Amino acid sequence: MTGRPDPDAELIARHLAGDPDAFDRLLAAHQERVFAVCLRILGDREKALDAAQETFITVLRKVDTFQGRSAFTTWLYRIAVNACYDLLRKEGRRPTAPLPEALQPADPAALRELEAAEVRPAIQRALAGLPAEHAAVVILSDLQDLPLHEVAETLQLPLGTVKSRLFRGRKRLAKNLQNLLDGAGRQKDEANA
Amino acid sequence: MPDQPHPSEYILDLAAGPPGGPEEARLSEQERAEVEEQRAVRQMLSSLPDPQLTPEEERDLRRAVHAAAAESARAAPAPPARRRLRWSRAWPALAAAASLAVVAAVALNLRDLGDTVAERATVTAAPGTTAAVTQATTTAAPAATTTMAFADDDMATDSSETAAGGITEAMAEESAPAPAPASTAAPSAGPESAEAQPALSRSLEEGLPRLWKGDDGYSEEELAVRAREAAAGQPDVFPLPYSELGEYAAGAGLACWDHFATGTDDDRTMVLFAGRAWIGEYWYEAYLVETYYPDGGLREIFVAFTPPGALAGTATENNAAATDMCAPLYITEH
Repeated sequence: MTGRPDPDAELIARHLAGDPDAFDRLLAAHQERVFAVCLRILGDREKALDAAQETFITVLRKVDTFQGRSAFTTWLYRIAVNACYDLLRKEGRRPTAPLPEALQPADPAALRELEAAEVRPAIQRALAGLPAEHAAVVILSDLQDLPLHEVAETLQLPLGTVKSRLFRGRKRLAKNLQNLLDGAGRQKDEANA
Repeated sequence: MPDQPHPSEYILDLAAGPPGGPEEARLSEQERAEVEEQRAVRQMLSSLPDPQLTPEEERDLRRAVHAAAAESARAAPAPPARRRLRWSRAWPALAAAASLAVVAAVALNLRDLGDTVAERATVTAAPGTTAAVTQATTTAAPAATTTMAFADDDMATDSSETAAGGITEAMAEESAPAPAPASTAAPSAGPESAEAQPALSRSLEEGLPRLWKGDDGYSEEELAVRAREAAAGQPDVFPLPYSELGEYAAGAGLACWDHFATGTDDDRTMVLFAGRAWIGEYWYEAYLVETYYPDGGLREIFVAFTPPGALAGTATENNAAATDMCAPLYITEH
């Protein structure tokens, strides 16, 4: 299997070779996803921006040590999650209660579906209420769609631990979001009827 | 049946697939409800749109990264303090002293001593140097009583003297031209005290600081030498200018520093911090020694870090472990 060249590896190589635009491209390619992970874990837009910034600065300073044994995204997410853990630790591990989304800076995606916008703050609150280590697993798996073995690699956890944290994290979310889940269930029943 | 998956794994695997499969039909009512619950939460989460950066946020992020890049580029040619210390003898003494300090401190009135040391460190530190000291001392004191279950008064008294002397001796050996073998220089703890030592002191003895922080500006050749030394278990330490320490402290590092011991002699006060630091993307086991002089000047700070990967586990797990082991310890000798 020859495979296509890894665009991240190519950009890293160009950056290390002195191409001034290469890191910008790398940043542009990943900034949204890194920001999303940070926002979901931290529940606060400003802090998520801080964590994303810290992540990319760390990447910039350390990219020459990245050896490509794992995917760049795995390494990147690991740095991002750890940046979030650092912020939480500095705050005594208490996630900041998120602002109502309407009060946050404009999120272009927020205007897409009114119904989704209504439930989104509740979901975000429930996510922010999870222990950070459960939240990280749930976010990487269910929001970032990483396969579980990649979640395990990113968080440097055994696969079994990832599964158990995912299971427990979802259970806790289910408990906290019971009303929404019941509503969704009713809608499904009505549609089937 | 060792290969039998945990029920939660089985349910997770089913929830990852479409509903209504034959395996799902064989589940009990409760299991089926679990699968549906897992699937519903997953679907709810996956339906959330990704938050997006506004153009302003995107611009700010780029600027910040560019600024950091420019700063790194400016800082790169500047050599670190090159005074390379050979503390191969001093570190074991220091480590042993620190571990004895654990025993000694538990029998002392830690809160009072903590206040004294905090005050002293704050007063004697040069302007701008108080943050790390006060942070360590103020966060350390409240938890002090948790370590008071072991060691008796006699042992503590002996140990405190030895420990402080050990630190002083270690510091004094900085200029020693031909250090003697470590085993003769280090005060040794008895078996009782060894049993009583908490994780940090054991860690100090077993995993003496071996190396440096990698991006301190040393050449590749120097790093290679240090890497070989580390691999050979050769203790080493490098001097860190305060400006660099400040960078670590202000950044994500120094996550778990605790004031560990203070030793004094006629013209110096030496303060040892130990802990685990999260720097960049790695945890480091770190030891820091500050030396204060009577004129109030902070003259030297030394930091040693274990190599990356020395601590297993996730950041959270390591943080928990580091929090556990950061018992606040004070030794003073008047």
